[in-house]
Amino acid sequence: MSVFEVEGLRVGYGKLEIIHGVSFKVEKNELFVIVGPNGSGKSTLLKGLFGLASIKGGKILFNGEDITKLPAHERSKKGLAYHPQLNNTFENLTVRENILLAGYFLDRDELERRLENVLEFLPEIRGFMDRKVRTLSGGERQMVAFAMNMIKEPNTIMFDEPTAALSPKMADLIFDRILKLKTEYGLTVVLVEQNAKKALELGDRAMLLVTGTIKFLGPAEELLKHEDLASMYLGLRG
Amino acid sequence: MVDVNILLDALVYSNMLALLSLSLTLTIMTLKVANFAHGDLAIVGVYGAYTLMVVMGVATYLTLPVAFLFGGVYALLCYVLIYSPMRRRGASFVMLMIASMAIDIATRSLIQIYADLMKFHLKVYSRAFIFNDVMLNILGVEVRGIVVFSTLSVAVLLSLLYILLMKTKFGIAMRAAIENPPLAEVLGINVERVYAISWFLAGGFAGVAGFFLPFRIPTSPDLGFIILLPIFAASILGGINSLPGAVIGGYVVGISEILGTYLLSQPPINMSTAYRPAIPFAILILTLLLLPRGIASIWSRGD
Repeated sequence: MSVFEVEGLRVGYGKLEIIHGVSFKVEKNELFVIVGPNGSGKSTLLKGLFGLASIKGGKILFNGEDITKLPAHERSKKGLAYHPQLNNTFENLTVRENILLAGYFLDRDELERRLENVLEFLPEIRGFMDRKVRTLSGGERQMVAFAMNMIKEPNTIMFDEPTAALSPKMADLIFDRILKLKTEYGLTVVLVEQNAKKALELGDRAMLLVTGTIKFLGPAEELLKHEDLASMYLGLRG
Repeated sequence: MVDVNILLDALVYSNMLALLSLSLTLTIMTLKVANFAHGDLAIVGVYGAYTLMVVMGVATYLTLPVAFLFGGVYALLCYVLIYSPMRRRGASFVMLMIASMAIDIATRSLIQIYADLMKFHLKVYSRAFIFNDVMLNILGVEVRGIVVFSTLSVAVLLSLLYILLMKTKFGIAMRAAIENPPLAEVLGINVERVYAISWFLAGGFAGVAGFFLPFRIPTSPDLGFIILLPIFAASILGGINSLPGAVIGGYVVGISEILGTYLLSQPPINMSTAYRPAIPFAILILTLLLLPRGIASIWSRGD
């Protein structure tokens, strides 16, 4: 059974439709990459999948269950996690409070157990657990947002440009951990990324989205090698 | 020297303003819009309690929880039936504010109709009514019941709210939903439910504050609109988005209003007490000019 089965999905805001009837599947334990030029609707598609943008039509099955009309918090309870590009932490709270907030529905013992697991996966944040998030760098904030999702122990996680505006070193660290989610933790990952080359190198399958429609859907390696599409839409040259 | 009764009256009035300012701030933090119908929640509460007194003959102070319930339920209905659907449909800040003004007018009109029904069917004063107070003997000192019960109400409600916000899972969810609603939703928090409960609590607090009004002044359906100015002055002085600030703002405005009116009405100034609303109005203007983020900016500075 596929993790996501999306049929004729149309997504937008208000009266504006941005995603025009896309259909695709995401398989279990797959790293599925969504790339495309600016304004192609990548982030809107993720928001639609998570229930944060209006669904204008179509159907979303998540692990076989129809979640098209479920609100975001209900989708979250199904084991789906979403890592937004911006505003992904509570800035006036400490790192510890942010992570504990993300796991507010857990009892104390379970929370402690999961916190230890998260700190093992992201040991870098141990050094600033009691600092307020607004004092952290962009990369450190992304780590905190990462940890907030990990404490929920999701089965599928969707990242919206997690390396935007990060230093190359920090971006590599984030990519490394995203890959680990798939290889070591067995999670399904949907990754929207501006750094198309790096994302396609990591990904199993890929979707090229242009003005809300699918231009390519297939193995990531194939899109990387597709000279016309890669150069026309992703700025990649042989 | 200020008479001790003036000081006690200032304490009682400030207790009420603190609850009203705190609850107004809570609604502003969730809806992000000033609720011009907030004073009416206090009046809904007091009419609920008054009805129980008249119909069931319940002792005055025992109806206090009913005032909480009436204020809370009415606020909840306003949120669930009007504000929440409007916001989901993308209503702007201005539209929501105008809606709150419409709710204010509609609520006052409904209370006027209800007051007529009370008068004709229950044969009681339903406008400009007052509650008779009891005298309590505390350590040999005679104290008016309202001084004790309003202070106790503030202490109990603030303590419960603090425990709720800081020590319970729901309170953590509430703080998260207020600071960053989309992220709270992403984390699995039902933001709509959290906001609805916040509105119930805010309405309940306003209802409790309203319950104490007839002990001080004759109470009528339009009183909610009249008390709106000091409530807003207190909330803005507190920093508009700060619950502790709102409580402090309530006490500063309340004490300034009562003591200021008293002192200015004494010789040689002899100013008319009709100028009383000028005091919260002046506090509101001075705050906006000199400390736009309110007193909360004092402790949030340098974070």
